[in-house]
Amino acid sequence: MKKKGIGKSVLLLAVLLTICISTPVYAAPGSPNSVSIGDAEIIASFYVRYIPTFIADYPEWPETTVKLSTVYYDLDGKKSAYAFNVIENGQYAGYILISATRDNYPILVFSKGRTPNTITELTTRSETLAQERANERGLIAGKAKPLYLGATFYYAEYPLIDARGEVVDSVVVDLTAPVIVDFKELQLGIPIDEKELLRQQQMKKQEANALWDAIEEKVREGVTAAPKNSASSRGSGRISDVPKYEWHRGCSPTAAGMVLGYWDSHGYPNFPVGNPLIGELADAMGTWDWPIHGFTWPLDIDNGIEEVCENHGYSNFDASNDLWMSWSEIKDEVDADRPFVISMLRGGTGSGHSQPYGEHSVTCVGYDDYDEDYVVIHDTWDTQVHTLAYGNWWMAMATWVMP
Amino acid sequence: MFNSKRSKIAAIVVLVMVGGLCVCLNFIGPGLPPPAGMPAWYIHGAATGIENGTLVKYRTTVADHFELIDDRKMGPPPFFPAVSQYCGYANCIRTGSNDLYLIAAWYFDDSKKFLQAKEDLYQYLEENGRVSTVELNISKEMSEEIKRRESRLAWGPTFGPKSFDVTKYESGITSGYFLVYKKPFLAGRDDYFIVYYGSIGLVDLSNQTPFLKALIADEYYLSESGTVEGLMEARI
Repeated sequence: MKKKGIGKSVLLLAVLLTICISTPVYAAPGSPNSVSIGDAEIIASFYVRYIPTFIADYPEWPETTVKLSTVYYDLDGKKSAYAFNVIENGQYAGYILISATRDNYPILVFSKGRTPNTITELTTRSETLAQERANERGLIAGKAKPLYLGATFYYAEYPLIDARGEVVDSVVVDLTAPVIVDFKELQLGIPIDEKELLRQQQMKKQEANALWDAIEEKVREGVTAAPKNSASSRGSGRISDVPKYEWHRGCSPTAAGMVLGYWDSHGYPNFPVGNPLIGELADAMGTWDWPIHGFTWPLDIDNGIEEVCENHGYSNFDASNDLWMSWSEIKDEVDADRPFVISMLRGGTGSGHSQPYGEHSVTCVGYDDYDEDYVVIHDTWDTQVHTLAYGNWWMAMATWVMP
Repeated sequence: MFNSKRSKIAAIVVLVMVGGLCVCLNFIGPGLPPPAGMPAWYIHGAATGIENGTLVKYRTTVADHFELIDDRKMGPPPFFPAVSQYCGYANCIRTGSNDLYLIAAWYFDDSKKFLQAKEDLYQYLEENGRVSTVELNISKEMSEEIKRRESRLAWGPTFGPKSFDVTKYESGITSGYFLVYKKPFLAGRDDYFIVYYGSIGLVDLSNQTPFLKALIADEYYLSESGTVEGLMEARI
């Protein structure tokens, strides 16, 4: 495939992801929905101090300050986001990206890493690519304008300047690849349901505006305490030391394997771990290898777990399927340090993934009970921890496991 | 429709019971990502969470020596043809250096499409660089990776060989190794992956190979039934 084709695919992806993940930016500079750098800085300053109240990984951030590093634009030349460096004792400690329009979520992302346009190697390569393209046409590549198109799409747009000093064209480089993308060609032939797109945009705008209102209220009140919980909530709960298994033979035996793997290191050391444990659970649950692959009958999950427990001398274990799992039961189990299996139909998309879970079993290892409720899970798709909004499924069954 | 409180409650109870029955009457599984999400299986993603409606990304280290640049992307990888609609890639930088790396994956759930794509990709590689088959031994890197996983209480199927043939590719833009994973999950499922681990830019591949082997080991996944090999060896 020619580079042009690559660029087209990348642009298509960028456009689709921008539609799906991020609210398109419509606000013209100076429009009621645009956000000034000053206002964004206030939000950024507030939020870096707020982050440690609900994420333990950022304990030092309350002592930090922020400093504008980059103004990003969209493809129409309108401001899309502001990046602020987070500074701790004069040292770089991360960044926070604030939307430049109220039509998008206020806090786009924050991290202890670096934005692609601040990594010298990436910008150097991107400049080289742009200059090579310019040379082909007897032009000069000018200074890059950083573009942020939502999600993970960071680009640099270079003006192409002729001998008279006039800008005659531009070239856009995907910073993280880095590779040249041709946005003009990509705007052709992308099938989009305009009605559906408009509906999604309106919905996102409303959500974004509500979040802006909420964060501005917090800023006005100077609230940097932990996020407000509902009356019945107890904040976050986590069970530590639950192993993370990747998918093997089926999601249900893998998810159950993590539960028994946890108990193996918490007073019940007779269980095998990893492959032998999952294999034994798959056999006990009757997980199908053929003709349908990796499927488990949900009502066999609890029986399979109990069978494996008995095989290893633990007849005291009680595993029970619960078709009417409630939020308070989830929190009770987590607070009691008892991981369990959640088996869902039409499960939604977990954090860090781009695709929904569908018919899937996961291991629940925690909960987050703030303005919205989330289960914290090990999902068998990798060995990271993910979150899923509570109720982001059509139906779900818990399999409680109690020694 | 429901004109009394009792009938409303009855309706809700019936709905909940029907929902519960639906769970009972459905199989759960296999619990693998749909095809569009499959490329991510062999590409490291950023550790993320959702906090108060905000996407949180943690700085993500890969195989101890690499830092993921932002996150993996689902879509056609740069430098290569889009041989599958199901593809993705990630870039990372080696800690303490300016060396950039590309990890790219193409997924297929159809053996014919996979074979055709393999041929197309191989032809492209021959036209744009130097291609050869070499044996790669990642035993040492796998031992280190398994230790890393154990320290994180993590486990994944790593049943396949630790020394295998791969397709070596060298060009002025990127150089690295292509691996083909066939049926890595179950023998009865048609799953095929072409995965590329490469350095970006004009590099001496022999100097970069130890680092690329660490990246390969980081995402190595193979059940008992699966195989791993180079592009030329990949026959169904």
